[in-house]
Amino acid sequence: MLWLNLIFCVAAFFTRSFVGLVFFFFILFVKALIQMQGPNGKTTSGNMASFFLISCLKKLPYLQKTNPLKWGMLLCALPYTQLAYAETNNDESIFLDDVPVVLSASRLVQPINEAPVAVTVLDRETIRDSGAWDLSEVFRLVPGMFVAYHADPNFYSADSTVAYHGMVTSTTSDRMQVLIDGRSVYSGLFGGVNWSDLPIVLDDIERIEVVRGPDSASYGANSFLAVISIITRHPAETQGAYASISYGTNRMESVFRYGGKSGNLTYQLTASERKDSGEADIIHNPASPDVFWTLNKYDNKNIRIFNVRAAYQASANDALEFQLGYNGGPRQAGEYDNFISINRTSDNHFEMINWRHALDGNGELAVKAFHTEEHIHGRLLDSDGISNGDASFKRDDLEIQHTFSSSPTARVVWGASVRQDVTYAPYYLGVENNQYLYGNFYYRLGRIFSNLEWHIRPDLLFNAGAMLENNSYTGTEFTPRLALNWHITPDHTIRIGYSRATRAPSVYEKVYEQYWRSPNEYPNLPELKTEKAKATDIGYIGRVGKIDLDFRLFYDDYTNLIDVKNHNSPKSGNLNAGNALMRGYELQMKAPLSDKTHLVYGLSGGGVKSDNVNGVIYTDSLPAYNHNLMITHQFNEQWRGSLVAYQISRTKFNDTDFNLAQGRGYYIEGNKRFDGKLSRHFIMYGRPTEVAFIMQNIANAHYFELRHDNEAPGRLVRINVKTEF
Amino acid sequence: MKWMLMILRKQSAPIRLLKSIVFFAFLGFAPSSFAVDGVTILLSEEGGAYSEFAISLGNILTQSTNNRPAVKIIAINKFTSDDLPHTSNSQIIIAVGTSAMLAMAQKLPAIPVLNVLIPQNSFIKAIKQSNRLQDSRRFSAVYVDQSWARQFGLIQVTMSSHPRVGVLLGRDETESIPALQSAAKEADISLNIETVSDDAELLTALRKLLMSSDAMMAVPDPKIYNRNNISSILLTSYRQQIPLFGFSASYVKAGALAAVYSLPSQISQQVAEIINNLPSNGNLPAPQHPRYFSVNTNQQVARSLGINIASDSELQNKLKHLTERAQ
Repeated sequence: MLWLNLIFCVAAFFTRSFVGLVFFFFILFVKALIQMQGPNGKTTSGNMASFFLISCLKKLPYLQKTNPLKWGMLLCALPYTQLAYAETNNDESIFLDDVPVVLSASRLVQPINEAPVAVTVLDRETIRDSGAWDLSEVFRLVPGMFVAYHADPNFYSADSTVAYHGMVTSTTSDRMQVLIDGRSVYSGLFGGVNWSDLPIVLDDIERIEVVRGPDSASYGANSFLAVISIITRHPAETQGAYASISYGTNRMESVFRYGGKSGNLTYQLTASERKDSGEADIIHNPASPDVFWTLNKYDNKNIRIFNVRAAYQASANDALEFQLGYNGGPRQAGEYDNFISINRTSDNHFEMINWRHALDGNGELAVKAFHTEEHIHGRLLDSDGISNGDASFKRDDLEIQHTFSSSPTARVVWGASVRQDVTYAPYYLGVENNQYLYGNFYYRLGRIFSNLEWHIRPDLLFNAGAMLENNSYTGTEFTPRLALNWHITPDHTIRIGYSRATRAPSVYEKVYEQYWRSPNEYPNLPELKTEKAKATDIGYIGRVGKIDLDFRLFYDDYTNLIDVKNHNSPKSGNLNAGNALMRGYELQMKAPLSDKTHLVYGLSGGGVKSDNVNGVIYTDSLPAYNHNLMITHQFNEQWRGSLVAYQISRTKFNDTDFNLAQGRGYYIEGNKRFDGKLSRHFIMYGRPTEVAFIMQNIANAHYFELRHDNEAPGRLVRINVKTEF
Repeated sequence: MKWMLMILRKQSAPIRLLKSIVFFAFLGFAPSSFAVDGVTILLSEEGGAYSEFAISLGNILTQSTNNRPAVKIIAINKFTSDDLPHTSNSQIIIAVGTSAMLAMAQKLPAIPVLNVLIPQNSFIKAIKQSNRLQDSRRFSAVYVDQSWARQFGLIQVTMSSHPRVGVLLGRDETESIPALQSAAKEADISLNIETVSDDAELLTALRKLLMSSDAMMAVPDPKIYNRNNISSILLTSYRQQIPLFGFSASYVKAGALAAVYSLPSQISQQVAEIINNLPSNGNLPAPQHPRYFSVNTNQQVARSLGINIASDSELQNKLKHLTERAQ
């Protein structure tokens, strides 16, 4: 099959890297496996040749220098393979033949009242109704999530800060595991997510599952405060061509997608370009006359995204998925003249392959491998002059997962994974001008995880999961998670859960620790340990009449919180000195006001008790209340409207203040915001088309988010036209 | 027969006459079995369900106490007309699968042909070719698909009352619509049908149905429910939280909520009964749907959709009682 050889070429191209080679072998292994299911059980001569070729080449020393493309081409010329998949052509074959397993164990969504943790699901319709422009804006609808537009105070990139329970330190959206189709996308450098650099288009998202709380047993390392799992649409659902154009204040975007089918292969390509000028240049209501505080960030972006997704049904029980994504373009960073990016571009790509094998009894064996590369090319101007702001990050990961039913009432998931991150960011890691920063920083991690889901009685469900992780910074950690769900009646469920999680230091934190431990500073300083979380919650999920309710009380105990920037931390002899106790509640409500009008409401509130050790502030980072309300109305078959309101009370973060003249401890005042959308759906030349008018921040309110040098944009209007053909 | 005559001889002549008349009259009414001497099973293909059926039928026939016909199994690609028995008495041909049925239809032998493992539509299309084929006494069938009544019956025993069921049909299958509608009405189901002429229309028609249905029922139309489309259909239905009822066990494994189907062994049981109960003139019964069936459910899909579904055996019993009551 031509497609298989195409994948060979791609794999061969990336065999510069270690995982490219693993990837390559993996594909050959899969190819041989498929081959063995054939009627003859023989591999073609081509396969034997390629196995031989690779084993020879591996031994040759000049392999490293050989142009991988050259021998990639060689392997592309392999004869087509005969892929076996029993096909009879009689009318009765649809009754007798095997049907490909579509809703496999990993694709089935667990009902919310059976989940061991509190989950918020944002589906396609919700994302569309919210009128969100950036992916990060969608998370405002999750109770307990703090979102600040383009607030990243790190000068690495002008990205939005998304933080669950507001526990932001000095980095972007960190302390959360963020996955796209099971691929971990948080960056190793600062441990956070650069939302604009993700190779994903909002239109391609099927749904987002947000786990409100730690869940490393199921989602792996860094699932400290919360887990965001983004799931994209399967190519089988996006056949045909689709185009969408948006144009508005300071922004425009065009998206084009095409999905096709060829025998057992379904594929989809998405291409998009977005231009966004972000915040206004001048702050409307500056908090201080000082010129620094009257200017907003430089956050213009030109985002180009390209995505390929392909699904191949190798046999009734075997599904292969391949994904390739690219995100690049110029990105501004900096603020005022203390730091400007003269030119700065992003250049990111990833490749992922996923093999799912359906077993009897709804079991599944899944193997996944991915390779991510993120590059920043930048020339930066700061108080020292012009510097090279290049940075790169590579991640290679291989994971195996097995799901099976050990008895009619119990299901087990278990698996293992290995990962390697390589970070190069001399400028950002730069503490003075140490030469050793101009190298690659490696981080390796291996983990084993398991979860048991046991229906003790039809109305009582017990979940026990754990992860054992070993990483090159902090060694081995064990994090369990237990939960009991009691369905009092089918409509009312109570859940009690206890979960432990850890967060290993990021590359930046580790390098800073090395600096503090140098002979001139504090050589007796102990090495960084992991941050620890112990979360307990009790929740109610149920339906009262037509209203769906999800309410919980949480008690989260955070210890060993890391701070490397405040000088008091190393001075006190402990970089893991921070602690915080968070107590609060979250409520989510979905109610149909009529069969055309729907209402969704989210509310969270609580308080933080912390010693604010070493002057690192945690108290008041959790807002006293944070709520959102969305009302959608389907006027008739053509017209649909939605209105969203957000309100948050005042907050104070560790990095909120930077102005010594103001004194530490000022709050960012609370704010209110309204967004609205009106859309008309119609058929144009037989093609379903939609025209939408979206207005964000309808009241044109000017307010600060996170810091007084970060003012959210005023009223933003845009028009969007989309059509399928 | 001899022992009857001997008894009669011992009695007086008029009584003998009376009893003979009664006896022979009785014999005339009593269906005397057509002792089948030879069964030729023609397979469309070797292996798979075809061989499974043939072996199962062979076993049942050789184990039957009354009559043990000779069973010959031939694959259609190795078959020549010399393989057919030369005498037409006491012989029956079982054609397994569409290819075997069409081979027999082309050159209809003098021997009665019972076609099995074929869909109802295929049989009806085949017999339209010639008038001779429309004589169901010589050319009949046991279909592989369940009756509409039974398929709707499964939905009836699985889902709440008055479910709305969506059905996708190809343009070529519109003749089935009246039968579908009357069966749905019997089962107290409100039926929505969308016809589709090509793959491009499939997703739009499906989405339209999903908006106004509580469940989807897959009808055995290979233009729609084939390997290429099944991913789109199952995924799209699942996203809308609408279950799909399939027509084979492998559909349930793929993600359908439940299916009622007949195993080759169950069909062979029915065919053996037909063979053992053939009337003396050797006329085959009218084409019929399977009598014995199994029900499979996918508990994981049910749980994910929040549907409370009974176990396989419970549903099978419920469905048996339901269809028996109807008959």
